[in-house]
Amino acid sequence: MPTESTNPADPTRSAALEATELTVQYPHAPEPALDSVTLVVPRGTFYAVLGPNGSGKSTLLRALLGMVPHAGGRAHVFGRLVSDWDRRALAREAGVVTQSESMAFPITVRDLVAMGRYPYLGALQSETLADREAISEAMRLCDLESLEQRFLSTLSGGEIQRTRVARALAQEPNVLMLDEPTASLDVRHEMEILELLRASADRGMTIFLITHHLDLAARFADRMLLLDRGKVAAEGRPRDVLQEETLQHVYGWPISVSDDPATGVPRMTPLSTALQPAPERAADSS
Amino acid sequence: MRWSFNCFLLATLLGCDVFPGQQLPARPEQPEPSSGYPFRVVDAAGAQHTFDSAPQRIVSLVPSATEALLGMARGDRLVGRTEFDRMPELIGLPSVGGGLQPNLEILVSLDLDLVIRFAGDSDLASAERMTDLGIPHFAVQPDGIEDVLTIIRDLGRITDASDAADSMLREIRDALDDVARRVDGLPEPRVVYLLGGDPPWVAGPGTYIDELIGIAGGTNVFDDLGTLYAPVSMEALLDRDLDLILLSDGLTPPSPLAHVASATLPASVEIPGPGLGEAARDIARLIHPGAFDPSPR
Amino acid sequence: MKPLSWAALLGLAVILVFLLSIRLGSVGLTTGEVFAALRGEGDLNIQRIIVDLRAPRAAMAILVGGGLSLAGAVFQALLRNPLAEPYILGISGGAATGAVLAIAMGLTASLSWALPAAAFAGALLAIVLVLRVAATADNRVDVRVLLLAGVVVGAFFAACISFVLSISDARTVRSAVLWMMGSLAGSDWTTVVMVTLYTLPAAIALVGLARPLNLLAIGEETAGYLGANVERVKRVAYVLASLLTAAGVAATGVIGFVGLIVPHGVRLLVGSDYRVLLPLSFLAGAVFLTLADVVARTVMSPAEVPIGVITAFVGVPLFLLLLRRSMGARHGAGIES
Repeated sequence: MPTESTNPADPTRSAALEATELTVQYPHAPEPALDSVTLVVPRGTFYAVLGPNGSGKSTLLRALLGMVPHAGGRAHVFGRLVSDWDRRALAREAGVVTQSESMAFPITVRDLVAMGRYPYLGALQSETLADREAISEAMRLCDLESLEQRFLSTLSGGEIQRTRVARALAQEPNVLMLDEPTASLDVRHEMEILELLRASADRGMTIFLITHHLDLAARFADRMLLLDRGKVAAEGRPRDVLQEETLQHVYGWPISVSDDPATGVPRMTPLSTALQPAPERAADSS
Repeated sequence: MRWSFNCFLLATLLGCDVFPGQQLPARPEQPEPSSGYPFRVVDAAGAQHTFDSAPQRIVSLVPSATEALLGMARGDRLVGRTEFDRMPELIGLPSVGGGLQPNLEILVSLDLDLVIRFAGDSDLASAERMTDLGIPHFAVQPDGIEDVLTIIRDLGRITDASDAADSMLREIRDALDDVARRVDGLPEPRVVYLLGGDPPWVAGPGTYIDELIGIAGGTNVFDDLGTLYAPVSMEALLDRDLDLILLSDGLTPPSPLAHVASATLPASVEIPGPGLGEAARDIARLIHPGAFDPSPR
Repeated sequence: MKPLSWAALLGLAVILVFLLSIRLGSVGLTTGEVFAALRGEGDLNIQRIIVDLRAPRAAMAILVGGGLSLAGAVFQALLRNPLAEPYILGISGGAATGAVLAIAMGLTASLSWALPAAAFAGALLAIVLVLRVAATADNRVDVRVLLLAGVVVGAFFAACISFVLSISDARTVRSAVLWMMGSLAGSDWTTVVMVTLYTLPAAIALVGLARPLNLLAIGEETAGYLGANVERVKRVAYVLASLLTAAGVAATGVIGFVGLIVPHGVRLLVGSDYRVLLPLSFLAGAVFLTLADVVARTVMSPAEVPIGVITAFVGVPLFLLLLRRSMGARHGAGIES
């Protein structure tokens, strides 16, 4: 039973995101993309969603925000049914960084981040002081101040990604949802974004992160969801979700789990299935 | 929805035959023309006109009318010309552009008493604009021989040149009668008149060309054309079993028809006007050379 | 230069170009004569030339030039393609088919408003057809299908036109071809008023959509997450921009290049923010077409060069120039991965 408060409009008492038996079926697909998924993302949680390709992670994000039709079940955002939310009001609560975007026209960093203020501005209204402050703060958090007037096409992949995260932050959301934001980033940029997300979570923002980096998810997330072909395979704390048998079953690959001495969190090591494992490696694995 | 549109289009096409384009309303009965002024006349578009005096400043957008006016010594009334009027009498006059879409600014600035234009035109809007701008306009349609004769007669009355017009008309009628007499009883060769283009355009029933061919003792093989002028396929030309091809000035016969006798007509035939009689003779000489043999009988 | 400065500059340019357009023409007039005519004095014929011929024509150039440019900018946002222009979705084909049918069936000989009415009806038909084809099962508008549908519908109408012309007589063909080349010659005050009734409300409504159109440039999914009602915006933008185009084409025929070059040129000068791009495109388009019309009327007087020829002759080199500049400026450091 999801933790709905008795007063659904009371924002202080409900979970950030909830799914109850959520099912999504794409037309012409043989199987449902999501099959009776139930989850609760409490406020202020860093919540990671993992699973193999095609397991329904992106669909889950879309379904939670009502962007795809539900074939069954319900989704709530801050206690209110997602279909009851006005689009702009929802955009003031939930900021989303999708997997990829392509710009139709050239745009500067500052202008792209400024689009995050759309839910707050009327048709021809100009930016207010509050808007400018939100934009500046978002750019500062993502270390974009020196790139403010640069055109996006002149930036590196990591810089573009930081700009998109900054746009979502400029929405001043209470829940930030990201779909594989670090996919093409090098280790430094990846860590910077994850530490930024972690710091935001510590300050009370709810983070919903879809990723396929098991290790980093284990390190940064408070809770995790493991999806397998549209169904929930495991849910809970990282240590509880990241069990060897579960992982091997879901990913179809032998994975060894151990505690990382540097960080103290579980570390995943995919095992080789070569016919002749080298003797040295055999001695190392635990 | 696309199918219904297709059916609608097809029905429209079949219903309108082969797009005559400029089908005119039937010409109403003319009032008895008076010999002087005020002179009431109905033009080829069905509009009533009353002339209290002869117009002094005229522009003619129709080559046949221009020729007629020049022929009845009223060329001095013309104060402008179209781009296609290149004869020495008019070349010094200001040009008003093309005959179908004249430059309205220049027409207004010429302070005209009369514009002679084509009737039943695709740009009625142009005629209406002339009315709005205070330019009087008179519509003519030189399709068949009678139409051309009417133009000459009406213009003669309008510009107080009735005598010149009447003598012009007599000359034409006499020439036509003479030609008809000479070819009377002779076998009628199968003729076509090509105007050029690819596929070639031909003259059909109702045109003065068709009528001249008949008077000149020939048969227009395309007297079933369904419109005044239209393009026809080479196959149709071959199928019609031609005896003679009459060519517009400057054309050569198409190669598939090289086996058919052909002759070129002078450019003056293109403009139906005072030269109709001469045109009939030219055509008749080509169709029945023997009938015009200068050697004494 | 700030957008507001551009707006002031272009606004001034519109006024200047309007005055130029009534000052110059096939008939040489002095400035004194022109101003006398505007005051209602002087030679009656000159008054007619200025007030009944040149002034409505200049007004039409402003409306149609502005409307086409505005519509072009909107289609560029809708189709996410800087090469989109108002005729890409078959509107010109539909309008031309209506016009050609009206000419060929002789309707224009009996009803002077038959031609613009038929052209408008044809344009509406194209708009509806394309929208129906592009609407998916759950009533969303897929813009990729929209583009394809528009191109296909346009090709179909082009075939209709060819067929009708092939069986029509010479005068019909000439009138039809001249119409399709576009001309401001037939502009009178009645038509100007009617085009204004379409253009101004549609233009104002579209400028009001500037912010959601900005979002569309990033992508429909993200635009939705930012709170835009994407489907409604697409539909409204498509219909309004199409009506704007249809009104222009019905009044003046198919004038090309304005809807492509002007918004693209303005974009290269002031950027892609639609709150700025839309109004400035309107003003710049008004100036461009009015100037082109002055050239069309005077360069080969008394004949008029079809205005589509002028917009192409001027527009194409201008466009290529702007394109090269834009390709140089925007791709400075390249994208590292």
